[in-house]
Amino acid sequence: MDARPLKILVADDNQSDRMILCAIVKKMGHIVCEAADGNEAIEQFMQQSPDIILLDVIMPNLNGQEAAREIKKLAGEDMVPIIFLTSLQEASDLAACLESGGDDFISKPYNKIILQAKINAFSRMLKMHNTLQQQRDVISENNEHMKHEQQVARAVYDNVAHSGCLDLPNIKYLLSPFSIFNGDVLLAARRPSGSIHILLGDFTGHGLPAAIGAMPLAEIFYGMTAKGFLMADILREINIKLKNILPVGYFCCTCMVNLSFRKQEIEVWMGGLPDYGLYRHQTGEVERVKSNHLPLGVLSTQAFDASTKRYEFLPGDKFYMWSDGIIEARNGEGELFGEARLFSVFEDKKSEDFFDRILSSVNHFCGENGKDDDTTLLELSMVDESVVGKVDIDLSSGAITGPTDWHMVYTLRNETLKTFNPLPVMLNILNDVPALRHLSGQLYTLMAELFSNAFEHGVLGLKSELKDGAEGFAEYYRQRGEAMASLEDAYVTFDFDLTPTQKGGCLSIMVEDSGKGFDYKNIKAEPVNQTNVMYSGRGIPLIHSLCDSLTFLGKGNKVKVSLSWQTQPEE
Amino acid sequence: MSHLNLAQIQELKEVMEEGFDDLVMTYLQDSDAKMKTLKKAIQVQDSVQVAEVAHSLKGSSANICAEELSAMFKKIEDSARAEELDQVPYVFEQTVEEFSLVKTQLQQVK
Amino acid sequence: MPINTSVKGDELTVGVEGRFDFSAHQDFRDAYEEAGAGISHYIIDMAKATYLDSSALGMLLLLRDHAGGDSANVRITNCNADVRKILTISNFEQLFTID
Repeated sequence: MDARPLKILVADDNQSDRMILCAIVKKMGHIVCEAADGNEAIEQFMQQSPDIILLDVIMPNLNGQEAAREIKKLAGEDMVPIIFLTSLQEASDLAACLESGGDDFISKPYNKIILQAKINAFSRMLKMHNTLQQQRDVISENNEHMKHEQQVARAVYDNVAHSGCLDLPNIKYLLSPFSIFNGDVLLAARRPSGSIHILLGDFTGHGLPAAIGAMPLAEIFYGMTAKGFLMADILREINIKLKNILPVGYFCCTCMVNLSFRKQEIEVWMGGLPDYGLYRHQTGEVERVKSNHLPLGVLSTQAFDASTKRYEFLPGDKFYMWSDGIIEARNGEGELFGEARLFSVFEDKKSEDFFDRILSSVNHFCGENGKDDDTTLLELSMVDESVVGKVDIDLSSGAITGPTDWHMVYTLRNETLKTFNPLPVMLNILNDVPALRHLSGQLYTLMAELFSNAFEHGVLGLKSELKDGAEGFAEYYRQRGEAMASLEDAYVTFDFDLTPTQKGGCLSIMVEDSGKGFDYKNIKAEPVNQTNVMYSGRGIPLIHSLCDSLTFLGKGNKVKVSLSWQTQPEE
Repeated sequence: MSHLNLAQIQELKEVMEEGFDDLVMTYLQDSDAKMKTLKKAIQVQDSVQVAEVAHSLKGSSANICAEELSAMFKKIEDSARAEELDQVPYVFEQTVEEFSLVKTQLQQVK
Repeated sequence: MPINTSVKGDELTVGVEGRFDFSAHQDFRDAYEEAGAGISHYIIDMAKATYLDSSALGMLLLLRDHAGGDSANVRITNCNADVRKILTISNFEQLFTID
């Protein structure tokens, strides 16, 4: 028997019966308290808190059933077994006892063995109940604690992995409200050039590991995007960070996209995700975009492949990204929604509101069983850049005064030209000049155009006309790859000269490349006008529109631009 | 013939130890009083009270190992619940007789 | 999802049955950790596996790590179409020999 004695209340109006019961219970080693009627039983229960109650049914004042009802009410969720003492034989009377809260019966004459067995059984039950109750309390306390921590974690997470520019008019998205704890991450930010970076990540495992991994991911994504880094650089950085911090076996299936308004293309890197859909407005066709990489956080930097695929992305085209929550949504029968059903949404060409139709199709499929909790879906559309507006530059950081009078020469050679993007570094230096920070977007575009002219057309000798047709597009990148492979004695030199003027400053940039140059005498360097947007043809009209003067020098492998500004407002 | 279950009473004595005398005394006093209440209730034909008191005496008599006596109280209780009191005075007389025999034997067992 | 193992020389075969998901975590790990030091070749037999999820992919990466990382010799065999598809989407053929 249990080592701990129980306290047992014996309630019987018949004194001799009560004496016998008390004697039996005491002999078993328990502590006894007594009551002679129902009212006394309740009183004793409140004063003594007995573990088990032996309760006579028929008693004066308050009978056993009424007392049982009251005691069970007082006990609340504590377990207080009540054993009725009865010689009642009618089934309906016994039922009434059970209904009033009785747990068992024992009949007169009292049998010591049976009573002992019953008390022991209830003693074991009590012990189990108390253990369960304690464990439940501990669990619920821990749960409360965890919920609070999650709220704090959520707040921290929201500050780091904010939704960036997901509210742009060409983006539609749905993100699970519990996304941080189901491992989905959705980020969007604009580069200084105006193009948009989007990242959808799906971490293995749910809960904290995913949320913790998402934070450095978001920080790298936003930080590097704002500084003008290219996708490959950002992915490489995220990959090594995750590889270093996540335990083996944890990784992040990722799709990252760069939408360029000027080039009218999207650049996609996908690892470990199901096929995505690229909808062509002109033909109504859907192209499947496939993962061709391992998820982020698996490979070392040496083995990591940051190569992207480019797709032409014309106005009206739409790119769809989703988490596997959509494909794995289940209906009442446990059947999966599946990829086939998802892509069949695009077959109905009556309208192009595929975003809403995908969602309603999933909801319809799941029916009552529907849980949208795990659903992450994003639609990215190509629109005119004016629709999304200019990039907001964060001016909140950095010195007010800065370098205002300096000269710098930066030359990139051979291998560096192939693999390194010099723009973030140079822009960082230029951004130290407070006045230039306001022109950051313009400056980025200007530098990007100058560099791509010098490298692609100058060093690599590619013809810009190639990019005009859809086939030329692919051919252009083929030739580019070829030229890259056979690079020798190549260089691009940037020569910056910043001088203060009376009311502001002037920046002149000279870019020289190792290419053959070109016949610039026939080029009319006119600013671009709204009706004639021309992006190829060395982007010269565009460059001209961004600066005060543009001059070609030498054999055409040198170009000089200048840009001036006023810091004091004009009266 | 014994009016008590002797094997049972032996067990009861072991459980009660020195409290046994006290128990017997309590039982006898309590039962005496209840018998008087029962008699009055029968006279005024209060079947509810008859049943209640007989039920109580049935239980305590069973516990004190007086099986025959307990069975008689059960007969009275059952009749009262069925509201058929005709035979009850007759059974009650037998009960009084049996009770006095139980009393004697209990005092001997002490 | 019972996990069965058999050893032939320096080759350990781990057979996975039914759904290969997080519930197999401990068994799967035990399978290769308890196989001893003499193992240099690992075969994951998916003949009886019906499905695998991302935590199973994680377990495969753990095995690869255990087996020597980039120099690991791990083959995944007898995949059904569903299992094969998940491995393909994740581009695991870059890390494992899949046949």
